[in-house]
Amino acid sequence: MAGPKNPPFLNGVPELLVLQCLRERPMYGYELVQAIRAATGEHVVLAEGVVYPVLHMLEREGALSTERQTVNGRSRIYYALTEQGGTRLADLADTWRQLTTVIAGVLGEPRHA
Amino acid sequence: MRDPHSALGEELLRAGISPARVARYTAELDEHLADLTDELAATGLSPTEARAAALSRLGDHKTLAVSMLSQPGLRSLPSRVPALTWLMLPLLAQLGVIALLAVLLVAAGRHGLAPMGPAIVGPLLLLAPLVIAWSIAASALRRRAGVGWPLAGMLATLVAATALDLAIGPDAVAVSLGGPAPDVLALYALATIAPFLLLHRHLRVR
Repeated sequence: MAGPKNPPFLNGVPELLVLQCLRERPMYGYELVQAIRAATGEHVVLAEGVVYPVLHMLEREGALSTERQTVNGRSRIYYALTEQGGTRLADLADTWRQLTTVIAGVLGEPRHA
Repeated sequence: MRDPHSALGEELLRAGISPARVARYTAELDEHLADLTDELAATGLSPTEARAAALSRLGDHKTLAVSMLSQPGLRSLPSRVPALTWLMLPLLAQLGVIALLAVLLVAAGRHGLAPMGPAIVGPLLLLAPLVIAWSIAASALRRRAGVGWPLAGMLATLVAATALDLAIGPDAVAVSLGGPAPDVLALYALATIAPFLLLHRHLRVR
């Protein structure tokens, strides 16, 4: 069962995770959330519905494309990474790596008396 | 079973998200909820427990609303630029209709069809502002828009229609600007603005 949801400072992380997971293959929302849960070992736990506004925004900005399919009687909107989305993912990943390096450096500094 | 996302849909519409996007979002949430409920029921939870747990995992009403409203790019054009959508575009449409009909009349006159012109153009001139005003009303109600801008657009369209006169002669067409004809304007308003205000009040929009 899901634990407490992650705090607001993780804004921007869903976008990175969404783009990264969709790099593998097109997915619909539920499938994508399960992929994120699995990929993060359930350390990043979001209210699952919040993934959709992120997907809509990424689609609007050209980072994702969509295709509607009916599977087992249920209507699914599959999201796929576009070329522009791939570039955006690379940029976001670079920024994230720089940030984590900087934070790691800060945390690694010796304490002053 | 009660639709868990109908109230969310209403809130998003009133906040300026387009009806199409709201419909897509709530449909995706409904499908996601069904998948989650199936997943949790498969772990041995009763249907009621599975649905409650699924609703919790999906996110509460406030979280789901804020996540959509925090994306400014997802707000609809009428909510971002209401003056353009509700006032300028309908007014331009009305003026465009008058200009188009004038051009058609001139062309008809040149081809010897002038006598048929008034019979065709008259009803179109009469109907155009009604159609435009009803379109504004329908769109505003569907979007749960506030009353101000749509009302201004309807009024401007009707005033333009009644103030601009297309005089059709045997060999000439003249467009002239006068004061709005009060009786025609009142009839137009009765047929468009009055039902709009009544329906708006009925829907308790804003």
